[in-house]
Amino acid sequence: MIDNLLLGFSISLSMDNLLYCFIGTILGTIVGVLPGLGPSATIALLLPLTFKLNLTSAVIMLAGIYYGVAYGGTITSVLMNIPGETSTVVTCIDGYQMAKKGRAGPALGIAAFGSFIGGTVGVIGLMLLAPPLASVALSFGPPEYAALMIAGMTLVTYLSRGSFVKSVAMAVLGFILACIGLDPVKGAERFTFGTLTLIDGVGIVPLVMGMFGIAELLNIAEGSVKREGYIQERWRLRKLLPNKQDWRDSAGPIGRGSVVGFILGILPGGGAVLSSFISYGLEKKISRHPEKFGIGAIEGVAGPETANNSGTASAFIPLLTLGLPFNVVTALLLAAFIIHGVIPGPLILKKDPAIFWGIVTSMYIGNVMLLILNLPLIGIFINILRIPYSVLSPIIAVVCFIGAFSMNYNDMDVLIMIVFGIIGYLMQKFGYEPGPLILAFVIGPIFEQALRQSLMLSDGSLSIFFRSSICIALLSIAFLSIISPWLRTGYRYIRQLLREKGGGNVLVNGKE
Amino acid sequence: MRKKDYISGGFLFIVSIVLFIQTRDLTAWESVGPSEGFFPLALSIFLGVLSLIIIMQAWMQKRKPLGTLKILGPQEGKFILYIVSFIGFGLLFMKVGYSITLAAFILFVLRIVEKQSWKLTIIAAVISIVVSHVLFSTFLSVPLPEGILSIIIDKIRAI
Repeated sequence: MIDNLLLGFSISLSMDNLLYCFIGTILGTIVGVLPGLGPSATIALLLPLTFKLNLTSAVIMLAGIYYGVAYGGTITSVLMNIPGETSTVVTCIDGYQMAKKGRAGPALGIAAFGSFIGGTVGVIGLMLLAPPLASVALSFGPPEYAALMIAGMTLVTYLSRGSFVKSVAMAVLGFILACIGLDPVKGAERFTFGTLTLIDGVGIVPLVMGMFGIAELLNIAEGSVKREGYIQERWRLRKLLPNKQDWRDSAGPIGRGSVVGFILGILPGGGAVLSSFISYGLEKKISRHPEKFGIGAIEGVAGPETANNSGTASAFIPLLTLGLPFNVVTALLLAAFIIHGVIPGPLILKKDPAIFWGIVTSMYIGNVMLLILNLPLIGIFINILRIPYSVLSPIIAVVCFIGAFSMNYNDMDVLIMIVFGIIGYLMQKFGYEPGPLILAFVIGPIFEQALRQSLMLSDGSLSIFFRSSICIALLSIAFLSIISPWLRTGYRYIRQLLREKGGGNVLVNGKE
Repeated sequence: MRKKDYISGGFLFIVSIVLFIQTRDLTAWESVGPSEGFFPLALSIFLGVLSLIIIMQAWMQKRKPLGTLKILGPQEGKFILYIVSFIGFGLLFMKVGYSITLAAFILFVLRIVEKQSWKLTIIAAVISIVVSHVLFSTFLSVPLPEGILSIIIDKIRAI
């Protein structure tokens, strides 16, 4: 192992590769900040430029873009309530609230540190556990996916602070929005109302930017959003970084986020996205103060930010060890491998160890670069908040317009985003929160496909979900997650009852 | 809040009915299992049930005050102007061109809605146009619509 690491570092620390890693991470951060353009579009654009590079340098640069995006996406989520990336949507919930309270610095700081720790844990996991975990991911069939999505959806209630029924209604609406367009299996039109505009479905970017960015702009316009004392103050680095209490609050979420992100990142589909939502739900569920979530809890930033970065690192496991790309970005990276005549897979460790270890070790270096780059930038980015809302609002609007347009070069996406902005604004006014809707929209297509395939395999019998141990375990987690609030209440009631009967110490007003 | 719950619950119920009607043309179940209409049908029914629960919950909290229906904050006029400017941008930028529409949008919002100085308005418009062109058009190859600007440039070139 040590020999391999030394070999890897000897490659990744060469001047050329350091430069490509630096370019990749810088580009990734910029792309992450810009809403609309994701890592897949950027890598696709830059892929032809890598033809002249050697494979290791090409993949080092492209991988730098991939994990750099997760760092950059946080900045707009925290400062403007516009998620730069889908995986940073959940950061808006508490990150933006922290910014409104004058704590944008600690939010961005903990996100940068969490991202670094998550990314590093992901790379260490990639190094140590790649082959066995890849085979576990391969054992996931449609029923296992459906069960995983069900387990993920049980966290819906923890994404919002309001009514449980309203949260579930929003999740259902998210699933319905995901159904718009062509059916993924048969190609039948659904909920298109006969218009061509909706035949491709609703894009995640117009939806998310509308629900978060435009809705917030409308709140600012009507005068209901106020900033609390963070324009007049001069910023000092010490005030920008998380304090001891922040670290104490964030240590657990960062640790758990690393594990959640790593595990879910290996799975096909939106691992990093799902992991950030699950991490948020998990933190809220186990927190002693769940009421703090949604109004600026640092745990709500630390956990998801760590999880999405850990997930980007572990997404390399199936690519490098099995040659299977489980998301669009890793598919493009596979294309880079194929263009250079190398097929990643189980033999890459034996045949081309220099490539494997060069890429893996470059990810350590990339994460260090991103941390060093991001920390000093926090002070610069925070200065955005010194600009009054009256000037900042139209600029944010322009960022949203261009972000929505740049996805498909379609003006209808801009109009759809505005419509969702108005809907998002009205939802807030009527006590509905967008979190469950976004989560359901993201996992909706994967869930529907997995559910339909599973039921087709079993001729419509639900017994297929109880045939594999993975399914049973995931459904048990989902079941426990649903009943845990009642279990907790029951446990407290029984404990109090036993105390009253046993020792005679009766609780009066909370005191014995 | 109860009044708002009645209205939002009622609205979601209407949405669920419309969606339910839309699923009539889709096949929900085939011999091999669920088909394209299965998920939309189940979801529309589920949404209908949830909307009725929201209405029922509001009805059951009779003791609580009905609440107000007021939605807009203190700056209603500004809110409407913002929505008009957003929709205007969305409708015009493809036909008129990105740069001209962006300049008009910034001018409208900063100068007329937010009552900022001419100097700041012009600086913001120029910076927005230049930065978005450099970042998106040049650097990331996003084809920003030129609209009538391209016709004018073509005519000047022809002359």
